[in-house]
Amino acid sequence: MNHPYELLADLMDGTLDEGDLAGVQAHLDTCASCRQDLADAKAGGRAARSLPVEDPPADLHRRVVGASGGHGTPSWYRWAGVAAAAAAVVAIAIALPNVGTDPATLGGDSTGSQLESSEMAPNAAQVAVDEEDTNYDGQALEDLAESEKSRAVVSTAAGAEDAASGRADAALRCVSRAFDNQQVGQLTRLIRARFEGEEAYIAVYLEGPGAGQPPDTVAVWAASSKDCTILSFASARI
Amino acid sequence: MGVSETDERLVRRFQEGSSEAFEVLVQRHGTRVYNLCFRILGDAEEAADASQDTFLAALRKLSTFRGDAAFTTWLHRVAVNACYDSLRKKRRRPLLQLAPEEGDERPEPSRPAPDHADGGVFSVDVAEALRQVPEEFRVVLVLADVQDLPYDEIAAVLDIPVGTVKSRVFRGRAALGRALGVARGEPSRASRTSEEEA
Repeated sequence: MNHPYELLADLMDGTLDEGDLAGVQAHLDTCASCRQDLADAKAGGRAARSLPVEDPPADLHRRVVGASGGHGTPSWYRWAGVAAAAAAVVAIAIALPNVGTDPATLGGDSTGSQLESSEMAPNAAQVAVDEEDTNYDGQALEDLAESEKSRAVVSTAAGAEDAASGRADAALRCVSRAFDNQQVGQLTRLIRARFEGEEAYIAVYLEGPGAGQPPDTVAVWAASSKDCTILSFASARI
Repeated sequence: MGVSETDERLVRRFQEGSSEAFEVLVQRHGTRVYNLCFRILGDAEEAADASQDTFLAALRKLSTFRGDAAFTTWLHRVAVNACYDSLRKKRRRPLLQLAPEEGDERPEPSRPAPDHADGGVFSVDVAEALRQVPEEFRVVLVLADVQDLPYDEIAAVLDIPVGTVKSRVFRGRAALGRALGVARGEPSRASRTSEEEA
């Protein structure tokens, strides 16, 4: 038997058309299940509307605004999508000093990668993972963004090697999940460290206006390596 | 600062480079987003994380907001997606669960019907019962009866037909009533009072 849940909702709300009323009443006369549902729904509706408004955590505003940078002109974000699209056409490789012993690889060639395309980190870039015994906080992220400005040496992808460690794959997958598989710029550096005590990946992106224009912003995101959620953010204009 | 500004004006100012405008939006909608997440997820800490994810996602996506829908509708959509993401991560199950077959969604009462004069205690019971309502009904129920959104706006948030919204609201309410056990001949004091008032 089909049950007229939509019409029963209208009946509850007092918005049932006159023309439907008789049919719904006739159904209720013969359907014990719907009669019980209607009684339950009346109680459930009252109960749901009785729930009090809860105060959000006192630090929610600080967490959000702090993670969003909280100051300056956020023009970087407007260009992220454009930059990502442009980067698919124009391969840009970033030389990464102090990356450790693992070679860094950039560009769209996923040869050797274990990543599914849908799980690729933003812009499908492959980088090695820096291991750092550092506990970052918001200020440290901002400092990192500043320091990465001077490191952002742009070259072509011709000399890039294409080896990616399994650890890098896992880190890339995690960072990609944190951004819901959306493009947020050109990933240039990936650091495994801590953020405010929590195991985290620190991902450095270059973002710009696209259309062949050079990046104009360094964006640094912290994502939990445990559940791949975003923890914080900082940016610096180049 | 911006108290009387419309959301759409604040969004425009943010798109023009004002980070202060985004802070006003967070301040204005923080409680609403948190309560949506809290009632869907049923956990304060997860709700705080999902709220933070909502605003960070909004920050990233605001450049694509063109005002085709009201900002609140758009923000609710972002928040619901953040909640689905949280539920998916926690339970490792598909993003959108199909509605169960008739009868499958009938939860057992969470506990004997409450008989509390204290409304606060009753609300805890409701919150516990709400967690037993199947996800696809709970989301719509929260949007309708907690957030007080009209059906057509819920349809826009979830991108489903209005008729489906009504159906899910009804089934969500029924599931909540069953979970509370207050409609099976054991009315609580709170519900009896409501009945008498009705």
